[in-house]
Amino acid sequence: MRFPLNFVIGSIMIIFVLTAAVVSLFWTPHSHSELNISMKFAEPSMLYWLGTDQLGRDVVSQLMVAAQNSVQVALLAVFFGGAIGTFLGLTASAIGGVVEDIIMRLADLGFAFPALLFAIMLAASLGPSLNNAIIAIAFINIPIFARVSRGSANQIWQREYIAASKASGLTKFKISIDHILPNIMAPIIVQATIEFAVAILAEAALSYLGLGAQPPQPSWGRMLSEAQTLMYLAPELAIYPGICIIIAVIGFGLLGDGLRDITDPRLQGDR
Amino acid sequence: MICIENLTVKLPKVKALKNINLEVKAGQRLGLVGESGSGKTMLGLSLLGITPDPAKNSGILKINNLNMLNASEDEWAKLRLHKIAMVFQEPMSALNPIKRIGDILSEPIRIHQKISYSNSKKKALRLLEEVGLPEVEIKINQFPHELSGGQRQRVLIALALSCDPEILIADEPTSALDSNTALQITNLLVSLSKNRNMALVFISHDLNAVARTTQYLAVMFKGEILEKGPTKKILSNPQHAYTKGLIAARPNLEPKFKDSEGKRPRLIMMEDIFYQNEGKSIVTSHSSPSFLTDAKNQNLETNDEKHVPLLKVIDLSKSYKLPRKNLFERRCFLTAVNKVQFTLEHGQTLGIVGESGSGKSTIARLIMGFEKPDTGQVSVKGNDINKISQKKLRSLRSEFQIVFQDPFGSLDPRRKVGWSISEPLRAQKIGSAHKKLIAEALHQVGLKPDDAERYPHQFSGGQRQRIAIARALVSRPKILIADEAVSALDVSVQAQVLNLFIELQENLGLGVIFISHDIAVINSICDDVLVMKDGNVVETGPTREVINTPKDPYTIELLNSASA
Repeated sequence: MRFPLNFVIGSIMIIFVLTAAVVSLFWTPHSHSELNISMKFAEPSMLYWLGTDQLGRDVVSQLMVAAQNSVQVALLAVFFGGAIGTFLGLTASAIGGVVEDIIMRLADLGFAFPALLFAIMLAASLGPSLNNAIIAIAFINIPIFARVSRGSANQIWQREYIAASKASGLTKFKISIDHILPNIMAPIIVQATIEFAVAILAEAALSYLGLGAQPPQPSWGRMLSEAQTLMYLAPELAIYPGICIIIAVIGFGLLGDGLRDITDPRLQGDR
Repeated sequence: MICIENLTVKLPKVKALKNINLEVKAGQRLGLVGESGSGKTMLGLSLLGITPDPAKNSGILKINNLNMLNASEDEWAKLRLHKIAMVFQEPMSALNPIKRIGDILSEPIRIHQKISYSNSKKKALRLLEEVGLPEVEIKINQFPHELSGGQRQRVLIALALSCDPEILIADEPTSALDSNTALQITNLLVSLSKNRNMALVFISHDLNAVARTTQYLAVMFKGEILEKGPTKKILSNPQHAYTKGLIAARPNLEPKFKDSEGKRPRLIMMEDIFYQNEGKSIVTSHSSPSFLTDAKNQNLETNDEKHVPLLKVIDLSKSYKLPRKNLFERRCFLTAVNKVQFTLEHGQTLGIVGESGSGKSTIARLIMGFEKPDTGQVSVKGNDINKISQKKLRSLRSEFQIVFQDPFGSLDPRRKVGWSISEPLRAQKIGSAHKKLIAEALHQVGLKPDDAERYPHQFSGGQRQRIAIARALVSRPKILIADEAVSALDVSVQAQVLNLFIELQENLGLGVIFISHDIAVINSICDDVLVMKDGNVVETGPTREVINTPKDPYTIELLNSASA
């Protein structure tokens, strides 16, 4: 089987980001937080591959640790948001009637709520931190996954093998776990991949506003905001994290599109 | 018109068509008969030049004396619709749901014949009249979903006729239709072919439909033509063993007498004719004594309480809300099932026969408790399933099981067969020895114990239906409901599965409700029959009486279309 082009390009970009994140757990060229004022604004060299910032910190090391930070936030936020959302969607689909209406209208409400606003609210009440950013991003993912899973699950509930399971005396809960969930995993995984991209962007935005990762923890969003004041002096400090965000977001986006193409049975005949 | 010599179509994995030789002259009606996988649709498609992309074709394919083998897309485009057109099987999906009937029809007329919009509309109207659509002036402004299946099939035929082709290919045009509607459609195709002197290639698995439509017949099997000749001659005096089997395995309306031990005669199966020397068939050759005697003993024990019928349905009614046409209109209701009552005893086989929309499947859903009736009750062994608690209902469910129509939709594609079969056991918390019970159930339906470790997609349609039956039997129910359980199967497989039902019913003493649109199928396996029309039971009684001396006009109509 040939993989679609978007899937291949997306995979390459994501492998690049993930490698940087994983390697940063064991090794970075320099310490990401070590100040070296004498070396500030160093040009790219063998020692500092992309130079240093206004405090003499190594840019590559910061970008690598920030990648790990971004991936971690996206992973946790999408995982929790996806799990809760899928659970709600499955519940709505299994029970139906008023319960389904309530859950789905609440999901509509969640859609209407801007994530940034919620994050600011959370930061105001609990203080800005990476955990609160994760909670905020997870929260916006709940209604998305609730909708996707409920829509797919409703289709599966119409199948005859579900009727056969009902005839066997299985409870709705057991049917949801045994049959519905495995059969809706494909659209959920596709959605999760696309939501990774959104989550990375959201994390960058929150960190940019100071509502995400706190110093000295590096983050692409905060590197951007710190570089903002030095735009005319050292524009490259803003460009590097910008490029990283673009690679991660477009990479996950393409990967998600590619996965959707692969799992869409309507397109399978064409390949 | 069509001349085919030694046509072979090779797909990457298989030879889809092998050395086909055929000739169709103007005004001739040719039938292509075969079971799924026989290559009959592939042959129809190659006549239109729409074989799958990697196909390699060789031989001679001439249409109107033009050599069309490996012709370019442009050359084909000149022929399609103008000279040769096709009617597809699925009247639901072959029409664009968002376009009005008039637009669907007039578009190709406008494009191909370069005439004005109003002229094309007029022509569309004329075509719809020709194919016998009622109230054309209204229908032309309606959407496909507002038409019945038969009406949609008529629109599809009109669409194929839109550029006055000289050859019409009809691929299973009656398979999705009720027998009465199918009869009308085949009559229409015959009269169109006569009036227009148009050649007709009629592809079908249904020998009845082919017999009344065509003059010539080609029997196909695995991409080859086994036998061809005048339809009447082949059907009355088949030469090839496969054709003989195909004709013999059809369920028919002849009376079926039980023998002295109360055994019902088996249907003749393809294997019986293919391997006449070896005698026995798959299903009848096996026995599983331990389980069967077990079940029989259980039945004897329950004989005392036999005054409680196994299943009792009283005054069952169900209606559905129809969507409102406008906001202020009063809501209309569709009565799907109207005051139906019957009882089912141990060892009885009850048939329910009727067209689609007659409410027969709704009865199955109501008995299974998938839906709540508006009035009336369903009692399983004296328990009203809508009054007892959910928990009690769940444990009662091991007593009544269902087998569905679609062998491809009734098994979870992501679960191994053994897992699916043992589901009722897990649901009922019947703890141990699942493996043994799964193996027994598979054995009963003529499959191997190893098959439990495979996935549904590795099986054929008939095998899947056996698996579905195994799942229904594993909890040792007393009632088995078969909702169109053999309708999706090929004739040869159909006979096998019907024999399996007879076998199981006799050995296990099951009460069986067999739902089908085909009265010949009902005749083969049912003691008694309910004839349904529009939610009402119009006639009921022992199967033989109903078939020999039908009283209701609808039953007579049903019997006529079945024997036509």
